[in-house]
Amino acid sequence: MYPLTLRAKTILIGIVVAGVLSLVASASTFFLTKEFLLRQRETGAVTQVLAAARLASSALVQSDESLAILSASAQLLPGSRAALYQSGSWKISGVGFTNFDIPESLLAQLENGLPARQRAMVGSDVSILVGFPLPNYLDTWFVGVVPLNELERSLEVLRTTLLVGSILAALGGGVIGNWVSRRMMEPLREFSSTAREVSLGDLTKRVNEPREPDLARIAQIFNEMTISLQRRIEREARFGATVSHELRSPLTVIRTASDIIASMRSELPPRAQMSSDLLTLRVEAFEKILSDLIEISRYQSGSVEVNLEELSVRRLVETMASRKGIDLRLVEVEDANVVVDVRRFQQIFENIHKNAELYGGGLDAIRGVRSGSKYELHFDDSGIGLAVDERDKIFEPFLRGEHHAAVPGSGLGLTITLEHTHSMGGELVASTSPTGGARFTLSLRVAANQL
Amino acid sequence: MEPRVLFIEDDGDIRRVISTALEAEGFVVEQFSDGEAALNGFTDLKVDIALIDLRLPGISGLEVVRRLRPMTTIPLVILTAFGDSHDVVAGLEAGADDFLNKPIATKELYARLRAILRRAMSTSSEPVEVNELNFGQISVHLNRREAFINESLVRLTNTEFLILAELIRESPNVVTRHGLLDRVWGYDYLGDSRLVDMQIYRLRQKLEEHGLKEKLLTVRGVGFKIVQ
Repeated sequence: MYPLTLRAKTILIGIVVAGVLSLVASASTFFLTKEFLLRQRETGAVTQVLAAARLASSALVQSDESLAILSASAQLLPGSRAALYQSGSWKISGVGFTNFDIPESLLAQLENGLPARQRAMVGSDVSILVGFPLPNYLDTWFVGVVPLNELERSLEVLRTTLLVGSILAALGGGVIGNWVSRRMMEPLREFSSTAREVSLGDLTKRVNEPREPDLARIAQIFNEMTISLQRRIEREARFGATVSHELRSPLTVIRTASDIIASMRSELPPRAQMSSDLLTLRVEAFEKILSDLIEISRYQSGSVEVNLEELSVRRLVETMASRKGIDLRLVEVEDANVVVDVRRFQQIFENIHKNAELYGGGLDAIRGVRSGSKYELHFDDSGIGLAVDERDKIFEPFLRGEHHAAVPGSGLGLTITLEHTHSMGGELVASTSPTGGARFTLSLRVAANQL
Repeated sequence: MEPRVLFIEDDGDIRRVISTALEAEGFVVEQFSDGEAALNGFTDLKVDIALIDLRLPGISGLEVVRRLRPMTTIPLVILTAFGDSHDVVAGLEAGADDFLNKPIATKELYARLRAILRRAMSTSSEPVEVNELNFGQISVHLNRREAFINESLVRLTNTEFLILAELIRESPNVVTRHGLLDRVWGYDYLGDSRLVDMQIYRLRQKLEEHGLKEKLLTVRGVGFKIVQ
């Protein structure tokens, strides 16, 4: 599972905190209101029933129980019911109600001559039952039943309202969390996009300092870091340029002079011929090492420039193969336009070719296949192949197998080849060829207009 | 006739040794150690090609290229540090036609100079009867290396002239960058396309100065074509 982002966390915290707080507030409000309203209703019910009981008592003086209960129940609110007990029998007023609905505990209290009240279910209604023993009459009680339905309905509405309020408050918390996180993240987003541009090589980018002191400090540090990085890279690039210029000038003289001597080889005595051959060989090797060092220092200082083009991979490979004297029958390349920097492609090809010549008995196949938006070029040699643990190591600078120490080279060829590949948005992987030799697979991007 | 090369290089050893190599191959070399002297004497030198080191004391190589460009139509070739992209782009922008990296193998140096000169100095490869190409308001005299727009002469460098002739010959088809690199510069498929882009930019400017706006079109991802 992916970890939550800071923003998602802030929103979630906003929702939970606002939701819990508003739920607690709503629940307290609900229970306090409910208690207050019930008390009020009960007090009202007691007053009403007392008045009705008095009326029943005075009615009994002049008439029988039936009339007494009728006149007494008229005193109660609509929907209320009443019961009169005298001489072992009950008179009931109101439908859906019998003396059996009266709880035993209430009756017991009345039998003891005490007034009583109790909440209970009467039929399907929650009601309050209030009973009074009638004065002047032995074993005579009046019980009033006042329904609480209306109050229950009001409480239901209140509960729903508070619940909806809580949900809205939680959502509001989420919105506030979102707003807060956006405000907090705004400078961080700018930091991250600037850092990305810097990492891609644009060292002139700076972040604006936000007003918040904490973030402003981070912005300052970030900008100072970028400035110092820029200066360091400029210094290194200047150093590299100076060194390479200083080395190149004498090398140009040596190279040309050695070429002139070599062109007169047939006129030279044998010892001078041998010296000239050695000179030519070593000057060429030195030139390659120098250009490798300049190239790698450019990659390390981040001062490379890439000139990307969309070109036919078959023509690129065939042109290079012809230059290198590779039999075109070994080349089997499906055509497609690929994204390359021509100069770098040449060097990649040259380095892989040279590597195969030096360590793998030469290239025995170059195959190219397109695979979706990628194009894979396989360079297979006829050597003994690479051990599994060597496949990544060979791209590291200055690392050459012990048994290859006598082979001339800078030890930077494959490192540069890998860097060149990455600079064109490609990949380079070493593996084993179908015939057991080494295989270098160069993956290039297929041109956008061919996707 | 032996090709005449103007070679401006401040390092005395490099100048001497490369001049010696070139002379051994039959070139006549006019050597200069600074840009100022070369510019002053340029008109009398009657050279066919100039080879200019970019890092010169006093007037820089770039400035020399910039000042030479309006004075002559001959190919200007800059000598740059190996693979130094900044130098190449700056040199081409200043008006150079091609570049060579230092150090350079003498065989490669001869081959490049010959390839450039062959195209710059050759008369038309077309049969005599198609010595003149007419394309809308443009007419091109292949033998005389002259281009006219509405009968007024357009001052083109050799490279620009060759590109214009190539585009007219191929019209209405598109000519790819590498087609131009091959036919104008003599490079194989691995030539540097930045050479073409800069020359097209200059040629387009010159056509526009003569009222031919939006006639030299870039076909994205393919190449260029000229329309009437």
